[in-house]
Amino acid sequence: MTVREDPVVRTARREAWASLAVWLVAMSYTLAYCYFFGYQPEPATLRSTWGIPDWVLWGVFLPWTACTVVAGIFAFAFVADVDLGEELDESADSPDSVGLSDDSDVSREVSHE
Amino acid sequence: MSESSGGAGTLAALLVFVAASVWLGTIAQRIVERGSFLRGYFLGNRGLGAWALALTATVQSGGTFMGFPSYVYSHGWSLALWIGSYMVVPITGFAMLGKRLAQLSRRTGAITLPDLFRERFASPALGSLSLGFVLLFMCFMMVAQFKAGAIVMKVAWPGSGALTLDESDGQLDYYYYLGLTIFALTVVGYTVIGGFLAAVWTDLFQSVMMLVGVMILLPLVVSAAGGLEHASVAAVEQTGQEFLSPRGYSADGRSFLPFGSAVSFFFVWVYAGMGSPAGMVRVMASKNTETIRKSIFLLAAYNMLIYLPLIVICICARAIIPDLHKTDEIIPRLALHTTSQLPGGSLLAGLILTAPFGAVMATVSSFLVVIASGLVRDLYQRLIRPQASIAEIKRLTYAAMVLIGVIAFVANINPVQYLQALVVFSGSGGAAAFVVPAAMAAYWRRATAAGTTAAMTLGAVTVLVLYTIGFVEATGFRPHLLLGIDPIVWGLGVSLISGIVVSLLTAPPPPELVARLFDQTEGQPAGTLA
Repeated sequence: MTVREDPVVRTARREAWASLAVWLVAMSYTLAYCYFFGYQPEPATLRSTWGIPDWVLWGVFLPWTACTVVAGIFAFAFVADVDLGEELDESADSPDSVGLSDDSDVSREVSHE
Repeated sequence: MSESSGGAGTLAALLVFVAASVWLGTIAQRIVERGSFLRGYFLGNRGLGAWALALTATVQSGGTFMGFPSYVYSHGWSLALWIGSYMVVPITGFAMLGKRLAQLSRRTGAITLPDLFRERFASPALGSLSLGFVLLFMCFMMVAQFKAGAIVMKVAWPGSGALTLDESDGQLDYYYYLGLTIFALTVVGYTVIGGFLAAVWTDLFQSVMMLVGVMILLPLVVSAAGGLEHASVAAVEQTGQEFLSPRGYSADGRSFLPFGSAVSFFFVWVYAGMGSPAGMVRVMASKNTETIRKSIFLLAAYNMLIYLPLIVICICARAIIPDLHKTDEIIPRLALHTTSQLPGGSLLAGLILTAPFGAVMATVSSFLVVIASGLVRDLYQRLIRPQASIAEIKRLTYAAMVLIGVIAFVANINPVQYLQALVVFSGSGGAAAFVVPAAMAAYWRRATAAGTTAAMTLGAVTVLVLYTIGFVEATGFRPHLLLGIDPIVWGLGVSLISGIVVSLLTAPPPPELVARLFDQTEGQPAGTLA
C-alpha cells in the first residue's frame, strides 16, 4: 500500500504559509506607513482628511479594507475544501488512550451510540 | 430616563435580552441530549456552522466595549494602530491552524485542548501541563469580566444614578451588587443548562446585537458631535496635538504607544486570537472545512464593521462628553446621552447597552465551558476517577460551573481593576503557551512531547516573568517591556526556539503515531485511520 501525506495536512500547510504572508505584508505596510507619516512628523504638522488623520486613513483604514477583500478571496478562491475524516469515538473510548479503562461507564455510553 | 441612569425601557430591553439568552440555553440543552454527553455538552457534537464559528471564536470580550472605547477616548487616534492587527485576525485565526486542529481532534477523538495535546503526543503529562495553563490564563480573564457585566446592568437600572456627573463616588453600591447578582445568575444559569452550544448560540445572538448596537450608535454620536472633523478638533483642544499622533495622548505626558509597542500589538491580537483555548475548541467543533473558510470572510467583514466605527464613536465622544474621568463608562454614557431626547430613546439605549453586556456574557459563558471541561474531563476523569459514570460526570460538570461562578462573584465583591490590561495579559499568556505547541502538533512530524512541553512552559513562563517584573517595578498592572517590546513577542520567540531545539535533541516520535495523524494510505478515504 502507498502511504502519502494526507490532503488535509498538505492544503492546511499551504494555507498556513499564505496566511503568515498576509500577516507579514499587512504588518510591514501598516507599520512602515505609520512610522514615516505618523511617528516621524511633529504632531502639530499632521494632516487630516474628514477629521481622520492621514496616517490613520492610509496607514490603517485602507489596509484594513484591503485585508477584508483579501479575506474574501482567501475564503472563496484559495482555501480548499477537504474531507476532515471520520470522527474517532471520544479519546476516552479509545483502547490506547491513556487514563480510561475499557469498562468505564463513559466508554459504554459512547459505544452504545 | 435621565443621563445618569437608564429608564424602564432600557432595563426592559436588557432583561428581554437576558431572557432570550436563557431561552437559547434551553434550546441548546435539547440538542445536547441527543448525543453523547461529553461530546455534546463540551463540543456541540461538532456541528458549528460558518456564522456561529465566525462570530464566536474570536477575542471580543468586555474589553471590546468597555476597555477599548475607554482607551480611544483617553488616548486618541493612536488606538487605530493599537487595534490595527485585527485586520488580519480572521485570516490568521482560522487559516493558520483551523483546518488541522479540526482534523486532529477528529482523528484523536479529542474534545478539549488538553485532550488534543495528550493524544497527539501520546503524553498524559503534556495534557496535564496544558490544562494548568488553560486554567491559569482563562480564570484571570473570566473573573475580570464580571465587573463589566455588573456595571452595565447598574447603568441600565432606573434611578441608580450610575452615570452622575459627580464621579468621585464609588461604583460599589446596592445597584452594583444587584447587577453582579443578575449577571452571574444569568450567565452561569444558561451555560449550565446548555453547555457549549448554549455558549455558542448566545454568543452568536449577542454578537449580532453588538453589531446592531454599534450601527445605531454611530450616526447618533457623529450627529451629536457635529461631525467627525469638529469632534477631532474639539478633542485636540481638550488634550493636545498628541491626540492625533500614533504615539497617543496621555495625561501624564508619557507616550501611550511607542513604536516598539505598535510592533508588539501586531503580534498580540493576531496570536492571542489564535492561541485562545476557547477559540481553538470552537475550531475543533466546526462542521467541515467549508465552515472554516466561510468564517474567514464573515469575521473579516464583522471586525471591520465593529472596530472602525467604535474608533469614530469614541473620538466623537470627546466633543459630546468632555473630560470624563470614569472613561470605561463612555459607551453606556453615550447610549443614554444620545438617545435621551429621542422618542423611544429609553428602549433604544437598552438596545445599545446589550452590546457591551452581550460581549461580556459571551466571554464568560465560553470560558466557563472551557474551564469546566478542563476540571471535569482533563482533571477529574483523566487523573482522579477514570471509572466515573456519566451521571457523576454530569453532576460534577454542573457543580464546577456553579463553583466557578461563585468564585468569580466573590472576587468581584471588591472588583479587579485594569480590565483591558487583564485581557492583554491573558491573551499574551495563552498565545505564548499554545500557539507554537499547536503549530508543532499540526505541521511538524519531528515535534516531540518533550519539545512541545518546553515550548509551552518556557513561552508561558517568559510572559509571566516579564509581567511580574513590570508589576514589581511599576504601579499598576503593566508588563516590563524588554527593549521596548511586549512580552508576547519574547514569549513566542522563546517558545519557538525551545520547541525546535528540544525536539531535535530528543528521540523522534514513534513513526506509527506520526503516520496515524499525518498520512493517508492509498485506497482509504481522507481522515480515516491508517
